[in-house]
Amino acid sequence: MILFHQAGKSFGNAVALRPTDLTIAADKTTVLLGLSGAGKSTVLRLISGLLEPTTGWIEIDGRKLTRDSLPKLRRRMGYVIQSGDLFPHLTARQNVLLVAQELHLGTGEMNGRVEELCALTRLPGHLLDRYPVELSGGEQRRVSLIRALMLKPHILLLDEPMGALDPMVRAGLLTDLKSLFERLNTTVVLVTHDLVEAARLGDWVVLLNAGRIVQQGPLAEFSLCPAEPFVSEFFHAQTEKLAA
Amino acid sequence: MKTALTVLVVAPLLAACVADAGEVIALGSKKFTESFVLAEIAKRSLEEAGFRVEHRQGMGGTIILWEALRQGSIAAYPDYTGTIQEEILKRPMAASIGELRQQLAQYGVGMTGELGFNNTYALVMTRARANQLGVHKISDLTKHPDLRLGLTPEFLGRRDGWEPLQRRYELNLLNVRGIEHTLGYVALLNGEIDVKDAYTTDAKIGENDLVVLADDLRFFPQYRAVFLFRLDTPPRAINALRRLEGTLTEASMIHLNEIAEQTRDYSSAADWYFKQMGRVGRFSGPESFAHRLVRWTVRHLLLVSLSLAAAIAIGIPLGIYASRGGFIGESILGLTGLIQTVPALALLALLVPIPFLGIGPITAIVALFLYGLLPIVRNTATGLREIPPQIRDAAEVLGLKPRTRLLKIFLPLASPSILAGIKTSAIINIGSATLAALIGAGGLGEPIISGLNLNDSTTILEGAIPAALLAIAAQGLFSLFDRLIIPRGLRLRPA
Repeated sequence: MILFHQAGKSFGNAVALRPTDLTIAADKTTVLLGLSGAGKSTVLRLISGLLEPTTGWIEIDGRKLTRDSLPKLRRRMGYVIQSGDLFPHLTARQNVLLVAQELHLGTGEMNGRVEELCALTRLPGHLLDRYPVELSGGEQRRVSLIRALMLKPHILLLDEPMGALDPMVRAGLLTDLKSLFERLNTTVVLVTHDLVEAARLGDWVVLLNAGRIVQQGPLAEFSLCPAEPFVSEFFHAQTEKLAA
Repeated sequence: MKTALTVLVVAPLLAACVADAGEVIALGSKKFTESFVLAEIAKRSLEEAGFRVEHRQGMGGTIILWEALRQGSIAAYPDYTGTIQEEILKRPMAASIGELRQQLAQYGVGMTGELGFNNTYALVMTRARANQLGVHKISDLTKHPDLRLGLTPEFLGRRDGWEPLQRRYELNLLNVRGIEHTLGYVALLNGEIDVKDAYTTDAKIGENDLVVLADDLRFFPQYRAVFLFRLDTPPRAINALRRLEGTLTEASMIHLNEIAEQTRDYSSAADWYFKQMGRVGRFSGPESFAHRLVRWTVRHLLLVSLSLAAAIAIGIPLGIYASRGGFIGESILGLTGLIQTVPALALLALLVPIPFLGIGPITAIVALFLYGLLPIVRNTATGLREIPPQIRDAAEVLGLKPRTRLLKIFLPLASPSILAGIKTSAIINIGSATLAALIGAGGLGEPIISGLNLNDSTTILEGAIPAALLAIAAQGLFSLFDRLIIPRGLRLRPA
């Protein structure tokens, strides 16, 4: 479980996230939804420790997130972003095994884990010997997922993982992610601006706008009783896009 | 990988250098023909006595040769009693040979007896101009304050040179400028200057029918040619030098200078001397071009590779610091950039007076190292700064230790940029290393400088062409290194 206690982030005068209270439930998929600049990536970067909050604090699995606790807590996290997070000078397999090697984990066990994750993410095993540049966008995201999942993280953080993919590939990955999350049974925090992704994947949806949480809950509640006009506008704009 | 390659390149060079160092006697000479010829004659005499001899041609002026002698980078060089008294010992009063010898001994330096001739300074003019103005002796110059004088920098600065001469003769000449010796003759014959300084055994005087102005107030001291040598030189070598005592008259020295300048070859002048003396046959003969080329090239590569290895070893860590920005980072970049703006020649000159450096290869390596630093530091910093933020984030969130991040992720990603910096640095240094010959460090600059002194383009090209070819070869070699060092994943094009 991840708790935000009035945690907020500003860069100088620019407020990225106002002081916020937020509870992210364990073993569920929470979707952070919003337009670009809404503050959803900031939430994710605060959890991963890439940013430090300028107000309040964050608690992960009962421990306060600090510089000291960060290295240990990070071992429980996997992190996947839109694109370009694979190390280009290493093959897919080297990317995936890098951390395991640094921790001197057993090779046999790790190779087994890689095979298992290839099956889970539906990545053909022979692609692991290619360099990132030789893989398609969808294949790269799968490798990034495998890398994030290697050490069986308690928390999986995904920042628009399908943002850079073309629609066909995206549809395929979406289905795969859906079944993956169900089987993993871990805490997933996914950032997206796409209502379809939120609908398919999210057990709990948090809608942000201008650095503030507008509404949260199961997605079905959003159209039934919108907390403020922005919620309807956001939904309307996205469904119109679908119709067109 | 990089260290392995460096060792691969440097080790054999070092070995060659060390192997070369045993039993060799190094001779120096100053930057003019007569000094070259005398050293060449001494070289033959030493070879006859069974020594291997290296002649470091045209190392510079008196002070450079004297320092090189005292530091032991050369064992002997030819000089003149007047110079020793005025420039080295700085004695105002005329001293006997015995007194000079006594004083030199305090520095661990010995002196042979006189070789036989007196090569003093003189002022010369073209015969036409001298007759036109009616100038025949130095005191006549007082009547022509508008005459243009082109004097060598050495003469302008000497204690027995221009300043005291001017005072003694109460000259009031306004139009005096410094000009290099060989170029000064060209200027004199072209009429760009009217008077220049010369040596009394200068071949150019006879060749060009120049008038030597009489020293009517007897200002110039005696410049009797001798060899200075380190007292720790093997006695057999000292004897070989002493065999030259009393064997050279003014006339024969002028002739030797003429031969050297006409044939542009010092060893043929030495040939003539040994034929005269009936001492032909037992010396090894002139060093073949191939042998010289190998010697210059090996030395050149040694200078470049050692300085480059040091620049890599220091430059990459500095570049890593600099990439983090902040005051220290910016200072590192600023300082290395500043060094680059100092002309290579000035950098050498600045380093020579520093203790433990002085004349020789080590100073040259230090200068080249400083020179090679900037491209490596800057490219390392730039390469690291240009790593995309997603990659930095990914490395951080994966929880990799800072050391692993640097060694396994960031440096490999910056390797194309770093390698490009090393390549730039290597190519700059191959060019700059030709200046090393000016401070007696050898290399391909040796023929370039000796060719400049002789005004002989063939000799210049003997150094310039191999240096250019080396730079091209380095370019090729680094393309190979690119393939070996830059990770394959960075060289692939997207499918």
